[in-house]
Amino acid sequence: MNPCKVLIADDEEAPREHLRLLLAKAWPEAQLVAACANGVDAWDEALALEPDVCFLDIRMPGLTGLQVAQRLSALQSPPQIVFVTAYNDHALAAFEAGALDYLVKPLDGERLARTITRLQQRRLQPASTPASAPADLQALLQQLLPRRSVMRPIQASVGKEVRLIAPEDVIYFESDARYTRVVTADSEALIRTPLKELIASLDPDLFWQIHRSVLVNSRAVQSALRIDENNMQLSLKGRSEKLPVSRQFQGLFKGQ
Amino acid sequence: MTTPNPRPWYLDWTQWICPGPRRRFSAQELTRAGAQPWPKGIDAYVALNLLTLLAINLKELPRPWAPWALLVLGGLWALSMQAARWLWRQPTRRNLNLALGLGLVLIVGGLLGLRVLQGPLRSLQGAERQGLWVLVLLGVACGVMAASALWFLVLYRVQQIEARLTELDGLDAQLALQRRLATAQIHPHFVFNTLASLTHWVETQDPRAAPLLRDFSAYLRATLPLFERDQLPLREELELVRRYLAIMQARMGERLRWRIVDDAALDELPLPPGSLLTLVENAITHGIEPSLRGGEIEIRCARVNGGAQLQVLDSGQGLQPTDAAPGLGLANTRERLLALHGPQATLSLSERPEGGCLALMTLPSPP
Repeated sequence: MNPCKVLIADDEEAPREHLRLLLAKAWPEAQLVAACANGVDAWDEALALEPDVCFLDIRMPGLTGLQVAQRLSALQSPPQIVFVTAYNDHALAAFEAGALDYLVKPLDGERLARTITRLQQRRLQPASTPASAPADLQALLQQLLPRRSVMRPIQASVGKEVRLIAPEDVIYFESDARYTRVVTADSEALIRTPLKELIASLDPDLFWQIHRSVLVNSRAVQSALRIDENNMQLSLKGRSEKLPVSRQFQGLFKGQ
Repeated sequence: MTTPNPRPWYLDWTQWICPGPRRRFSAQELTRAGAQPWPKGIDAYVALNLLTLLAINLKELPRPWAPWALLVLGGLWALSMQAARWLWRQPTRRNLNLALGLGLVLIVGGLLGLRVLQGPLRSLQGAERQGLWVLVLLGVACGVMAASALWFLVLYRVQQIEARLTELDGLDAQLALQRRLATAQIHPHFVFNTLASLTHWVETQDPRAAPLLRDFSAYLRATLPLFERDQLPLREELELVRRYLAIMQARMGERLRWRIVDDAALDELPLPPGSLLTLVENAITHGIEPSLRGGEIEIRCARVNGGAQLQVLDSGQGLQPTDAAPGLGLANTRERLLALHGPQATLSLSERPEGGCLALMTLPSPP
């Protein structure tokens, strides 16, 4: 079996390093692929590196650990998730009830070792049995996450003018080198905010991420077309361009 | 609720016409006090009294009157028990007087009935005639006893409800105080996150451990007895804020920059303990920590028109519609500020045009 790929995320340096050291000691076979300092990086790196296990701090800027977990659990092959928290967030009781893994800070080597054993056992189970019943995890997180607040307008500079774009008017966002392209029905603008940070302020029920670099307004989608095993394409209402759906997100378009 | 009429009861003419408790409970108050169960003891007590009364008077009565006596007593007994239970549920002056009025009507009606029957009764002789009078007296005595018992019952019940309401008010006030102190106390999140950093630095023998431990100890020593004091001079409050920011600085690293602009003339300005600290904590937890790039905090203390202005400025993510907590903390601080400095002291929170928040505390000049 390939070495287990691990991602850790904590906004504070010392606890992050502490976890890294303890992991290196208690689980030398695992391969740490990323150590992130906020939620948006954790999500973005998880898409790029496809870790098998994610250790997520709950309170993080950008996306909280719970929000990252919610997104991860919707992926085609979700990683196992271990929450890390300093204190009894109201979530802990729910984790306990849902048999989810969590650790409390300051971390304790023995407790971490037990968690690792459990993660390893689950990895050995045949792929057909879901690791942590992602459907349950999603329902649980749905409960724990607050309703999203109103989305703020997007401010785009076009020449000397600052244009305000209502998020619901956007058809899709696309990462473009150092900018993000904002495409609406009648215009296009470039903004400096990276896509991965924009994600945090947009309603995930309205804007679906279909690729690491593309976020599409679900109301603008006409159809999804499966090209072959790994490729899928979206057609948009009243537009000619096609958007690729990466393998991880193809589960969004299941049909009934 | 106090009665609007402060006169003693014997000067209150309404008490002579329709006696009873002055206090009236609203439906909400009655629900809040809850329904205390009807005391079973009353049933036993009344039954015992009636039996005694019967035992004494029964042998005075000539035989033919005995069933009548039983009937009158039984009727009065059933009626007054019904009235008592009704008054237990609704112990108002109006209801008491309705019940007493009904009793009076019954007794007067009974006497009038005897007068109508006077013709046939006139033929009664000697012992029989005397028995009738005993019966009448017995009825009247029972009626008066029932009336005064009801009167006492209502007074007792009103006092019971009043006491229960007072007790509940006390409990509520105590809970509110505890809640207020709890929100102002040290946040466990802060403690355990600090310990998490400390653990790592101690294990790796990082030189950052010692200063952090020092600041943390000083912070705990100052905060734990904080809320036992009524006021704290600005100098001590600022020391506390410095310790707090030093701890957060150690934990957050470059993501946090801070400075304090101090004015020595304000050193002794009294503050509600922890009030400035609460504003700084809010700026960190709701402004800087959730912001991807971190930010700056500046605390400015300045004299204005003989009074003082304390500002906490942050460059964080600004007010979020989902943030319920700062509103609560703010209300508590405002309340304590009002208690210490009077209505001229103000506290406001606003968004800065350049991003982030400004918490502004204005204190009046000392008298």
